Amino acid sequence: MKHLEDAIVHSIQEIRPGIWSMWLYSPLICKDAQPGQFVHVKAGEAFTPLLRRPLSVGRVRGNQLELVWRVVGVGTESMTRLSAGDVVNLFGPLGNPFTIDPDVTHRLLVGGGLGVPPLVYLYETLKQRGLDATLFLGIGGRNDMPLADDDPLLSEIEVTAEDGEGFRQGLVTDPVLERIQMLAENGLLDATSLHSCGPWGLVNALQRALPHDKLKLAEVSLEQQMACGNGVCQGCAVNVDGGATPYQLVCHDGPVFPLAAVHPPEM
Amino acid sequence: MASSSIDLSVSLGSLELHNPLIAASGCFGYGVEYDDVADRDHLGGFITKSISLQPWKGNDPPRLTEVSPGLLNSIGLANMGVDRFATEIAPQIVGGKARAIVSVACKVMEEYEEVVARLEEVQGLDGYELNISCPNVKEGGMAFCLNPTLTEELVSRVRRTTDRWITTKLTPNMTSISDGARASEAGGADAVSLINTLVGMAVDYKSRRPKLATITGGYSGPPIKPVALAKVWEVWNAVKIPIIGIGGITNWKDVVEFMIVGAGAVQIGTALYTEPNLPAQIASDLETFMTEEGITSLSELTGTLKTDRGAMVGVPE
Repeated sequence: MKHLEDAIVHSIQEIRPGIWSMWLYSPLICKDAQPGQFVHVKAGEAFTPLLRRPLSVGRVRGNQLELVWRVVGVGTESMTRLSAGDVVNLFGPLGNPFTIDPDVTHRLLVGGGLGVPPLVYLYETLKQRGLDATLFLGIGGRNDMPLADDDPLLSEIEVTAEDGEGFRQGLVTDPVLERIQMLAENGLLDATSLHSCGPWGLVNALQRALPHDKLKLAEVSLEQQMACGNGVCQGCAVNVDGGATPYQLVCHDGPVFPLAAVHPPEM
Repeated sequence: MASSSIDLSVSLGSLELHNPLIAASGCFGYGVEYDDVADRDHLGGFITKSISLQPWKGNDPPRLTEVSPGLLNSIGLANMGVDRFATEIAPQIVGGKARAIVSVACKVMEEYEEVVARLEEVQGLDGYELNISCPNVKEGGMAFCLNPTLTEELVSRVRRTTDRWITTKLTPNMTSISDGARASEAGGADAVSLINTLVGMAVDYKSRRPKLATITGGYSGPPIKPVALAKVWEVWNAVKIPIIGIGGITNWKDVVEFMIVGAGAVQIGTALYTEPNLPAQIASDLETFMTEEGITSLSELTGTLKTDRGAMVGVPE
């Protein structure tokens, strides 16, 4: 069930220049949220900015959820001025979650930059259920890292940095394809799923490199500019194969889609 | 707070609304999408997303961009088509306190008649809004409104198809919106709705590309309110049928202003994307305002603009 909930800021910090993490007390949304879903954040007062901002639900701990964002405009900037105790109206949880298939034995979670928060939520959910998961994170350099330096998760995940500083040098697809190769050699691809979120460059690289037809499941969470977040305005259309029309709505039909079915905007 | 003698109800000809707040077409989906979080009964009425004869896929993405404090869109009337709407959705939206009005948008006149005829089979619908002003489709759309002869013929043909209440949604993107209003009145419309979006454009200066795939789109939100007020005032001086004011409404003061310049009711559009419950808040605020001002019936406000000039300069008598 969707809720309009006045969430209360518990903590907020700038974890990198321009990248922020905020924990909010939001019991109704926490109760119903699943990994891959998002909330529509009312970033200001009196319709300034005019629209809400869609952000993936990051980690959920009890009655609190985490939002991680990069400052890109007035809405995300105004959110940085919040402080503990402030009230933020959230609409959610919205959209469809990642698929958790109990028949899968190996799960590869692949995030690029700010695409990683929903995968962190998925990772922690899978671990809590005793299910296998490996989280791969690709960043340009340390300044793109959407986790704080003291985040215990850093010791569990595989990070690749394009500049190589402090992490394995290269693209996130490098260790992912190595893992895929290993799984293939052991005949495990049909028991493997892949869940991804990141920029179109990552999506396209995965589409080109993955043996789609051999994996049990491969899906991607997309983002697109949206107004309502609720299937009403039809603004967040993306090109996706397999629907009644060439377009599906990120907010309502997604944001999680089959990886092989999505196409980038042509502009 | 408000006393029980406060009367928010308004009449738009034969259509009675328990308050003047109507959800605008395209901003409240088919009427069911916000059921989890917003009670339809707080609305005087709602107008569905525009329905066409066949399903429409809409325009290529990107379809919208925020041009703060407004919104530029080019959805292209994506919708499920009348058959699916009539069987799956329409039965769910009738019978409540809020009047259920279906917006109809087609490419040719015959299709408007056909869609309305199909909707006549659905019990409990309260009327139709003929969308003849969408700036984002290649065929039909705004063309019907830009030519008053076509407007009158279309309305009169639909008038012969139904006894239900009809309003036409008019565009500000024409030389004289009054011509469109007069043509609607002559064709037998019960009311006119104005304004639809203003044609607008947004450009990325770095890539030199338009921000919408269709290059231009329709601009909505708070910045268009002054334009909308002027158009409502102009049409108030041109026709006798009721006017539904639309354009940038975000609070109760906006509603009062639209009524003063001639609106019998209003539509709330873009703001619903951010605040699905805004109508409930506005209704409550209107009651407070009326109590403080000693106004017992909100409809008393309609057309009470105080002016020494009688009509706006440039408006034909």
